[in-house]
Amino acid sequence: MRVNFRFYVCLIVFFFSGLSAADLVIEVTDWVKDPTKIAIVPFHNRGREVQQDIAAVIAADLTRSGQFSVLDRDDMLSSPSHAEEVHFRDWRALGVDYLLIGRSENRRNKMVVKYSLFDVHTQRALLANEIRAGRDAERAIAHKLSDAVFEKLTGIRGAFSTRMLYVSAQRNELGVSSYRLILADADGANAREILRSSEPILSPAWSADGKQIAYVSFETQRPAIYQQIIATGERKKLTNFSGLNSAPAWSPDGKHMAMVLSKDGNPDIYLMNLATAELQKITHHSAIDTEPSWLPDGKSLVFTSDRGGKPQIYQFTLADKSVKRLTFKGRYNAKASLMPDGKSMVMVHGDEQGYHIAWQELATGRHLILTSSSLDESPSIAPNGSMLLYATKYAGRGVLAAVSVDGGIKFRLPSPSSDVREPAWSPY
Amino acid sequence: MRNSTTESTGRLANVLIMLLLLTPDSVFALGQVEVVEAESTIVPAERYPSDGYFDVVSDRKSRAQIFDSNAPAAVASAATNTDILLQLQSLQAELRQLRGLVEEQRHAIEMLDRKRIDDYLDLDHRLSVVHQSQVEAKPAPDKEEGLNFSFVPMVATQPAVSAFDQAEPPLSVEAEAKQAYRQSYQLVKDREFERAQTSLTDFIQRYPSSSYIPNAYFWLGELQYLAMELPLSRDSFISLIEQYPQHKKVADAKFKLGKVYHQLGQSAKARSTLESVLSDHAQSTAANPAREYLNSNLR
Amino acid sequence: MIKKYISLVFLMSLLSACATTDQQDASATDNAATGSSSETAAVSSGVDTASAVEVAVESAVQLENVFYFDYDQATLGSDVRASLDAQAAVLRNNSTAIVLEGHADERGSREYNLALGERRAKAVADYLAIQGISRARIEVVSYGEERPVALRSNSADYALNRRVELK
Repeated sequence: MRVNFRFYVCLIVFFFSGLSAADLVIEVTDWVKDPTKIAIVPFHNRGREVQQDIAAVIAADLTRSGQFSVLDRDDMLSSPSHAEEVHFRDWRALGVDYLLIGRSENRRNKMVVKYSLFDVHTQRALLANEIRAGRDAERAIAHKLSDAVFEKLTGIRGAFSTRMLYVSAQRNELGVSSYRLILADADGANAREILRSSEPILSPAWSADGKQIAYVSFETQRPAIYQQIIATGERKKLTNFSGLNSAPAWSPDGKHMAMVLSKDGNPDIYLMNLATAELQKITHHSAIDTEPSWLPDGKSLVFTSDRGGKPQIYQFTLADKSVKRLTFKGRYNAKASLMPDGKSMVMVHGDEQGYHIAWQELATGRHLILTSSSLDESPSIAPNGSMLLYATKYAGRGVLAAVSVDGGIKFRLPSPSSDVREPAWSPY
Repeated sequence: MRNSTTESTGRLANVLIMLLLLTPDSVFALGQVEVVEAESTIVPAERYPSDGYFDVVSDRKSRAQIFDSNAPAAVASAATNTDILLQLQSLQAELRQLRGLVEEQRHAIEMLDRKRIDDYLDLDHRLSVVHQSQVEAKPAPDKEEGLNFSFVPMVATQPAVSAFDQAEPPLSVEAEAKQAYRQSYQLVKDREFERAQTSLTDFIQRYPSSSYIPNAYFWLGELQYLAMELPLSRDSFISLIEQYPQHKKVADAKFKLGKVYHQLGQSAKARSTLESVLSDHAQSTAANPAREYLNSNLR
Repeated sequence: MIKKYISLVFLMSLLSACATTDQQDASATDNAATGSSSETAAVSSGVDTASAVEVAVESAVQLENVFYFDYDQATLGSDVRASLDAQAAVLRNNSTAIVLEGHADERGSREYNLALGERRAKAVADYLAIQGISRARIEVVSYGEERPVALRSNSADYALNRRVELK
């Protein structure tokens, strides 16, 4: 099976290398112990020529989830695209548990994809459906199909159709830096530039409905928080007080933005009412308070504070304004981010070996270190809570990587030409 | 514990506030008046090791004496202010460290507290296993829910169910009460102690005439004892003993009450209560532990 | 009156530059005596009086514009204070606006490092204010870990990046 994985990794690398230079490349570095074996037959196409191999995109999606091993195309004995062409005995002989077949029709104005997912052992169809979209929407269709297969076979909603933001930084020969805020599909493809600046860009964040983003830009030589509508590109400067303007975090109901300002002398956490621009200071401490992150119920936030001499994670409850320390393991805990169920969080955890991504259950304090590299930061959780993206250094360069929440699956998304960092995974 | 730590933090905060009044902006006027010996004024932050809130204070005092000495007039102001700034910075760092220490110690205490209860339950479990085997060797005439020491489902579940099954065919209110009691008792078995306590209190209020009231008092007393709410625990056991003197739980309740009295520092009452277990309930399973307790703690 | 005060302060700062070395030496002995284990203490106790004077004189001549810090700290070391004293002496004689840029090394989270850079720059700003530089002239900007001067991931480069730059 290992050989097949390698083949697919190569395939994926090859596949993406044809895309624009800003796109990320995916290397899966670690799999679950016993992945589900699936065969994805190349889709038969009629009509206009398709630009993207749908089956390959699905294969890449499922491989990246770490929970599937995809059968090597060269090993396939046949390539059915209709149910009646399937010989289950052949697929069983290849050790495959599930089989996905499909066919596409690419017309002038639209594209229709029909597909079926079979359980090879029971010989029954688990899914038989069609997806319609505008023409040349192969990638979007493929991700939707991946979502459907993933949900059917794991019971977890797929997050392949989601997107991510990240910051890319490049330094030219003269030492001049350029910073770009990039929006891309969750697999790194379709990367496009949202903002370019010669000054740092930081802290990209999503609104809960996925339609707007916020970020910090130093484009005026001073930090300021901006809010931007993705579809129109329309943007608004929310704050540019003297001192820090950083770490914007949308409340789950979309009405407030938590942020960090140091206009009163030291960094504290504020809530801005987005309708009225009214500011409410919620932490009052002479130490550093930063990196607010909402609990999904919107009733409390976690944040990083060094009020105890070292950065640790605290929880602030809006109703009674109480502050409670959550982390006690390790000399450094920062940048926490809540899981979708609100019961656990991930964060940057510093110990003698360096800075890793760690997971902690809120109620019990149960603690798990997920990554083993030493300069890991900026964890961002997939909306289905199965994987998280983070930034790390690999071969002296900033790269994005992903790890499953149990630490079992890992993959890297190195960028071909620049330092990439601060991933922010979109909501559904 | 909690009080003393907030107090010490409070004292530090006072020192800080005093120093804050002397921050850079307000400090110029001060500086022009004061005359200080130059060599002694710039105090590197490293002078204050991390274990020394008191060092800082005593150091301030000695510095105050230096202020009084007659020194060259020139170099005064900025140097004094520098001194204050550096001390302010080091105090802030110090305060943060102390706060961290307080947070960590409070956490450690909470963990210990939790562990104490777990250890207690573990011990209880093992004891009850020992008693179980004794009881099995010499069958007791009356087997009620669990053995008296046990919260642990493994041992408690079986007898508990059979006890319910043996209960008199109930009236409808009694059926409801039985159901409610069973729920409360389930909370005990699930180690949901706080909820169980509330639930049992409710039960006693809602079904004052239920035949499960003595049992409810008994478990309530146990839980209050676990939570170290000793006076409450005492009252629960007394309610059981006084209102249901014939109930089979009385012997155990007296044993527990004896322990509660002892921990409340009322040794005489503890002794008489435990002795009444020996005299009035000599055949009960509580007799042995009561004797042991008397021998090891009260004689 | 103000003029007199300024010249007084200038004189004093020159004196204090010399005084600093004595003080540094004294603190070094103190540290040795109390057995302090902090890194800075270990370093400064290794500096003899003569070389410390040299450092102070040198920094008074060619002004330092970059001031360095320990990991997760904003404490002004004695060498940094000496450089700042010299800077202040010059800055008092003009009225140009000053920008203090705070920076951190790449370890840990970005927003926390942004705050840390600001804390460092503010520590410098407060110190300069006490040396008679109006706080209104000083602007503080933190870049956190975004603008490293040294790019490798090792302790030597980290030390170079934990800095405040005076511009």
